[in-house]
Amino acid sequence: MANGNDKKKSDLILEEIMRRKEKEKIVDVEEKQVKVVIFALHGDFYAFYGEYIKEILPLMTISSVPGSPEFITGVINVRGEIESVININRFLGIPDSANPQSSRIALAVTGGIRSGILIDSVEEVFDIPASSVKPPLDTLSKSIKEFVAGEFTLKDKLITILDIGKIFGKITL
Amino acid sequence: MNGLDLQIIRCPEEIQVLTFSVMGVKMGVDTEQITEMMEVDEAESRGLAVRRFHENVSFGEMPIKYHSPIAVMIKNGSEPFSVVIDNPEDITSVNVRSIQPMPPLIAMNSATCPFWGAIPGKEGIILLVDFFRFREGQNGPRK
Repeated sequence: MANGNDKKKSDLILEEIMRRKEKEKIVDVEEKQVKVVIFALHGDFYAFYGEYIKEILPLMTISSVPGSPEFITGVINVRGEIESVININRFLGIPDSANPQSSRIALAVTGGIRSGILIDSVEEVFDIPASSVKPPLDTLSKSIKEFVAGEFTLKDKLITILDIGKIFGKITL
Repeated sequence: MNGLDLQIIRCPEEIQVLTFSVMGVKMGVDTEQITEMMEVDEAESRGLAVRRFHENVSFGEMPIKYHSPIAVMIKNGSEPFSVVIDNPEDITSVNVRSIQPMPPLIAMNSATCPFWGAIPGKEGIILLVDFFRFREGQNGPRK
């Protein structure tokens, strides 16, 4: 029998359904994923946002360019294009890789600038919730902190995200 | 026509490049920048301003050694000068389409880096040096 109470009940049910849908939407927004390329530098873990990494290249012959800054290792030939290669360890003041054979070159692009970045080894490429990225710790070395976009924890490892735009920006100053 | 003498400069199809190397780094120079090649002793005895390549361009901390040095005289304005290069190899025709610009992170260090382009090849990359720009950096390499 339809009466005022039943209508109220259906309204309540609809309201609850709508509330749940809204909540789901909010959860969806919170769970926005970002791709990160995780790599090691001298035993610590770092990452770049995947959107800036065009490809990961195996270690290849790097031709040195006299007169360029110490942190620029040289240039490489990528399918006929000449790309610079940054030694990110030297740029950040970290000791060079102990095992250069496992090094890789991440080809990064941002702000119209493209360059290879020499990294010790690529650990993983992951999608992580954007919300898991936190501001960097105060304890982080000052020479690195300037280039940090944030930090997150994955499998109990603290991973520092480096901001490629800030790195290129510093070099082009 | 107003009588102006307009000179149209067209990009050449190819350039002649003298290839050489210093400390294992392969380089090349457009032969149009060079007037003469001679032994280093001869350049010095002629009283020419002689600069070793590494005196203008830093090779880092490594000790510099020349194996087959030769002086190349550069024509630039009224004051010719000579640069000592090492291991001159060949003069080859290079199609300008095969020349790649230097990457931006290196090109913007042009005050210390006299390279204007690079030729990717099977036997490695040849850096094209501009000796006019090289001369501008003759206050010494950046540490």
